[in-house]
Amino acid sequence: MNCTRRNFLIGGSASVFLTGINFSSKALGKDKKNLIIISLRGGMDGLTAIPVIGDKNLMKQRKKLIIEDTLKLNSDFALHPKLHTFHDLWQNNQAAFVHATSIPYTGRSHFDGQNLMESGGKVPYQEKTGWLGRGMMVANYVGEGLALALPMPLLLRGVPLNDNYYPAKGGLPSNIVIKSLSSAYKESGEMNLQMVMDIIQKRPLSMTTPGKGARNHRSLAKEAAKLLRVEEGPSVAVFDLDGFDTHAAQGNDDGLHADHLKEINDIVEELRENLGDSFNNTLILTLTEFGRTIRQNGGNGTEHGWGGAILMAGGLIKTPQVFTDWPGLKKGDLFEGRDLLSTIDARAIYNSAMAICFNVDPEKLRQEVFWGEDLQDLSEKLFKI
Amino acid sequence: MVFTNSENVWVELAPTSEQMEYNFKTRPTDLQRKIYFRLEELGHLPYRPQQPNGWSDLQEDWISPELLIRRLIFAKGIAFSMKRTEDHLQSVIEKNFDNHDKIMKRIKVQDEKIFGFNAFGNKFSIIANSPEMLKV
Repeated sequence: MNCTRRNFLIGGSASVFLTGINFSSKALGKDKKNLIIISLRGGMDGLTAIPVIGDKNLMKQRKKLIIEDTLKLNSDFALHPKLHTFHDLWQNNQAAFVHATSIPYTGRSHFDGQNLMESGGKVPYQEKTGWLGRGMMVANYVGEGLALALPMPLLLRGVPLNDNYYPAKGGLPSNIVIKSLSSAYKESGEMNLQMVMDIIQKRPLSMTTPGKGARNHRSLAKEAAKLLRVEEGPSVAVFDLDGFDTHAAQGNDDGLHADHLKEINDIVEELRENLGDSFNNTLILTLTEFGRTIRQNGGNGTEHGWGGAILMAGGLIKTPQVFTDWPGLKKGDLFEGRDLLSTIDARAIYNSAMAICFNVDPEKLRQEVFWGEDLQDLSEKLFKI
Repeated sequence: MVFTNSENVWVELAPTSEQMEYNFKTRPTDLQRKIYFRLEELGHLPYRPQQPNGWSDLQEDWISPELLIRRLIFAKGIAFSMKRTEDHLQSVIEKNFDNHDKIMKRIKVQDEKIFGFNAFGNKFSIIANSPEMLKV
């Protein structure tokens, strides 16, 4: 390969990354903390996941979508029955929720919304990296990311050497192919490709020879937990769930939205079982582009809204609570007369969560990840310090 | 580094005229949809990225272990149905690359046995994922 400035920069940056590994806070001997983000694409309905108890406005506008068999959280809020693992964890001080929150995006497009929930910015497609990736870069968490998705989510971009796993149907080609290509990449100076090859070679057998059903959420969560609980394994994981966009037949206790809530519950259940003691040092957060409208539509579904909820679980939760600055559901209290108002910028929660898990000053993250935007530090209120 | 995107792969895998005879009354047959299935497994289904601005061909957006694994498996799989020989592969490489010796050297070994079952598939996987091929 010719030595051009471009190639020089690629090679140079690779060596910077390599030295960076030595300085990550994990290597300094601190307890390993895991941060797990579950992306909920399509817009999760916060009022289905965490309904308000006895709100007349909600009852009136959502006759077909009222959840009967709720699990009570406190005097104001209850939990959807399919999220029963969260209820167990709530009783063990390991789950909490943030309600009436969203990213600042108030448009109604999935494309723009999903891009912004991952990039953390305000202008769609402006940022080419994700807030989690940038946060990991600030904390020097190089080679610590794992996405249980294909392709690599934008959320994790911004830090090199992330792993992703979403099992293929065929088996890997024979070892000679891996070895031969690995040396070919090295010869051509393609350091990034060679490092990817290294990650592939280090994979445990269970990942290279996946059995039937390896792509379902439970199997993926089990595989992720195996890696996360090891000291040398990754400390950040991202799950990708789809299908929360229920414009018709949303259902209540059972139904479309309930089925997808169950997927979140399954993932958390598997993580809790398989992480073992590491669960005490873990934080699981959900991420969605927007909530859904208060009023049900003609097809017993809901449209794109704004305010929603964040589900949180793990041993790093400070206290079981529904953290909210509740705006109310009267006509005048709604955003544009139709959506739950978002009173807390969701990015403030993610910023605080990264600060706790990466052992970095939240102010530094706010400046470097979110361009110094006005995000309050919620780490003391929500998480164990 | 810019990567070959899946639309290019699709064009190169253009099906035979026989397979292209769609009648628009029934669903395409599984044989006609074979390429669709394969490209779906490649993780880069043409015209179906999550976002409307299409698949990126930049290294930063592309590079990840799972996508490389998918390309390795994809190459091994299509080699089986290509019905080509190693000689054919050699002539193609020679016509298209200045450093063809270097590329072909990767699959010329003393002991053919190490390529195992589906030797051509494994060899094709090496050639198709060589750095020279991944780059545009």
